[in-house]
Amino acid sequence: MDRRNFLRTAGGGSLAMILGAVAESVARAGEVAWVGTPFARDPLAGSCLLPLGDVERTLGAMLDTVVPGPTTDPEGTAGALEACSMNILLDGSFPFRQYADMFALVLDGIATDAHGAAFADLPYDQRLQVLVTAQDQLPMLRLAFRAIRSAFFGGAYNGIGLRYVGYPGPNLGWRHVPESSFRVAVCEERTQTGWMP
Amino acid sequence: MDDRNVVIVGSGFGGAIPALRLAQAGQTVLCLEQGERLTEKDFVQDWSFKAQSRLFVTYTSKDYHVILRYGRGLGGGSLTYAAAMLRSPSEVFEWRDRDGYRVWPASVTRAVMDPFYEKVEAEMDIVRASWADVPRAGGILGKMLAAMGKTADRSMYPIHDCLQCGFCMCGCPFGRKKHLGFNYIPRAEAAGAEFRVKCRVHHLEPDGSGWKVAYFDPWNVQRMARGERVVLAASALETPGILLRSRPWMKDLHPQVGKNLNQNGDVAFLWRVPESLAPTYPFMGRNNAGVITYAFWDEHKITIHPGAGPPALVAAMDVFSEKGEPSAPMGVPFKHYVRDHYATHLFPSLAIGLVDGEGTVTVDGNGVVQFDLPLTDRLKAYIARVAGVGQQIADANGAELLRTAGDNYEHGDAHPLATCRIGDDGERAPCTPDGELRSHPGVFVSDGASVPGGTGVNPAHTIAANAERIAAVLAAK
Repeated sequence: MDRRNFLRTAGGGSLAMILGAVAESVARAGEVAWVGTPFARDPLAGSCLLPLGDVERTLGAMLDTVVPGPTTDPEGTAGALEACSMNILLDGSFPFRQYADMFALVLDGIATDAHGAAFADLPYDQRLQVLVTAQDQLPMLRLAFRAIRSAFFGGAYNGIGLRYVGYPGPNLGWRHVPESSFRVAVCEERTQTGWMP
Repeated sequence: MDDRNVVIVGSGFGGAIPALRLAQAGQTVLCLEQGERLTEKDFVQDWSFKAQSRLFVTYTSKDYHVILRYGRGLGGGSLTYAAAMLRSPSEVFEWRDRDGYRVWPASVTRAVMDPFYEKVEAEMDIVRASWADVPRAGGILGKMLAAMGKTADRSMYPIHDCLQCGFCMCGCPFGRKKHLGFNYIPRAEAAGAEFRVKCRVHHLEPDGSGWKVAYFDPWNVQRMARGERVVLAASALETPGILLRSRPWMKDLHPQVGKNLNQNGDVAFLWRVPESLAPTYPFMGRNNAGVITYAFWDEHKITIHPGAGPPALVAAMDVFSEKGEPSAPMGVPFKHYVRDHYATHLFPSLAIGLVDGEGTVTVDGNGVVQFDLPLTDRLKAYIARVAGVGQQIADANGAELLRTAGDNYEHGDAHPLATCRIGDDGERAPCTPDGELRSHPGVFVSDGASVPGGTGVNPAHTIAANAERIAAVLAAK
C-alpha cells in the first residue's frame, strides 16, 4: 500500500498505530557493549535543506504554518523555511529525523479526516487548526514546534529571524548605553551579602 | 596505559576542583575532558547550532517534553553558565522529600558548607554586582517587587568589569567572566595535574585495587587509563551514563544510580510589562540579569531570577495570552507578537525551588544516555505555585504573565542534579556523604550528580563547594 492509499484507508485511525510504534521505540533498552561511540554528533552545519520530496512537502507546509513565510504571512516577510528550520527535522543529530515520516503521516491523517485534503493542500487557517490538534496527540510535535520557532527566532542557521525581531547581535557591550541599566537601587534588599543565611 | 593516583572524568566544577586539591596534596592526577580547550579568543557571539554544539551537549527526554544540556570544554559548564554564584539557604540542607527522608546527609549543613563556599569565592574572586551592573531587565523585576513592598537582592558573580554584551552563555569573548580556566585549572596544572581534552569516557572496569577508565582519545582510538581512585564529574546526565555503561564490569551497581534526577525546580516563564516599565531590552546585559528575589522563599521555597538573552529564550517558550493574541505559540499572530514585543515589553525569568527528584537517567542499547522527567502531580502542584507567584507579581504591576500551553513544563534546561546522590541512607543514596559509590569503593562522584537535591538557587556554587568538600576528604586519604 502506498502512502496516499494508506492515508485514505487508515485516515486519522492511523494515529493509534503510529503512536504505539513510537512508544515501543522509545522504550527500547538493551545490554551495553564496548563497541561504538555512543555520543551525540554535532548538528548539521551546512546550508538549508529544502522540501523536495513528498514527505518534505508536508513538513515544509508545517514549518510555514509554525513560522509563516512570504507566501503565508500577509506582510510577506521570511519565515521558518527561509531560516533553514527544515534542517531541524531532517538532520539526524536531532530527535526528529527518525519521526519525520510519521509527522507527515499524522498531519496528513488529521487533515484528511477533518478537511478531506492533504495537509500541504489546506489553506493556512485549516493548517493551523490541524497543528493545534496534532500537538495534543503527539507530544514530540510540540517539541518540534518549539525547536522550529527557536531555530527561526534564535538564529540557529542564519540571521533572518534575529533581524526580523530587531535583535542587534554581536556587540562590544552595552555598558555605556544609558538605557542598559537603571544604575541606582530600585528596591530594598533582604540580605547584606546577596545570599540567605 | 597511564597509571595515576587519581583519574578524574570531567573538568567542570566537580572535576577541576578535586584536580587542584589532589595535585596540591601531592597526588598524580589525570583529568579527561570530552570538549576542547577554549579561551576567550575562541568564544564568538553566536547563538547558531554550529557554535552552540561546540559548547553544549543536549539531550531530550523520552517523552520529548524536556530538554537538558550540559557544558563541554575544559572548564565544563563554567565556560557558558550565566555565572550566578549563590550559597544555598540553610533550609536547603534540611529539606525532606515526600517520604520524610532528609535528602542531604545530616553531617552536611550550611554551617559545614560555609568554609567550602568561602574557598570557592576566594579562588574564583566572586563579587556582588553593583546596581550599575544590573541590566535593565533585572531592574524592572526589582521595580515590580518594590511596588509590592518586596525585596530583590543583587546577585554574586565571578565577573569583573562586565561590558554587558549579553553573550555570557556563548562564553565571554572579553574574558570578564572568570570561568575555571582562569583559576582552578591553571593552578591545578601548575601543581602537576594533567588535563587531556577531546577524550570521551565510555566506562569503568575494576583493576586490582584500582580502576581502569576506558575512553576514546581525540582520534577516536579506544584507550585505558588507570587510577587508584576515580572521580566522576561528567554532569548529572553523563556521570550515571558512564556508570550504567559499566554494568558488565561493575556487578551489583547500586540500583539508585541514575534515579532521583532533579531539575532544581526550574520553571521558566515570560512577562509582558506595561508601558510604564517598557522598554525591557532583554538583549542588553549579563544573561543572569543581576538580581534574585528571596521574597517568596519563606512561604514557597522559591527564588526568582530575571533573565536576559536572545529572542530564542522568549520564542521557544510555549506561551499564549489569555487576553487575545497570541492565542497559540505559532502562526502569523505569534510571529508578529514576538517581533513587536521582544525588545520592548517581554523578559524571561526563571523560578528555582525545592522539589523532589522524580526523574531517571538510563542508557539505551547503544549506551547513549536517555532521561525521563515525568510531569507528576507533585510537579504540577509546584508549577502551579510558581505560576501563582508570577501572577501575583504581574497583577500588582499591570503586567501580564503569559500562559503556558497545556501541561507543558517550561523548564530551564541547565540544572540537572542528584542522579548519583550522596546521603545517609544506603538504600536511597548510591554515594556516601563523602561522595564514594557505596557499591564500588574507590569510585567517587563530585559533580551535580552527587548534589542530592534542589539547591534553591542557581546550583553552581553549591556544586563547587560540595566538590571542595569531597576533594578535602580525598586529599586526606
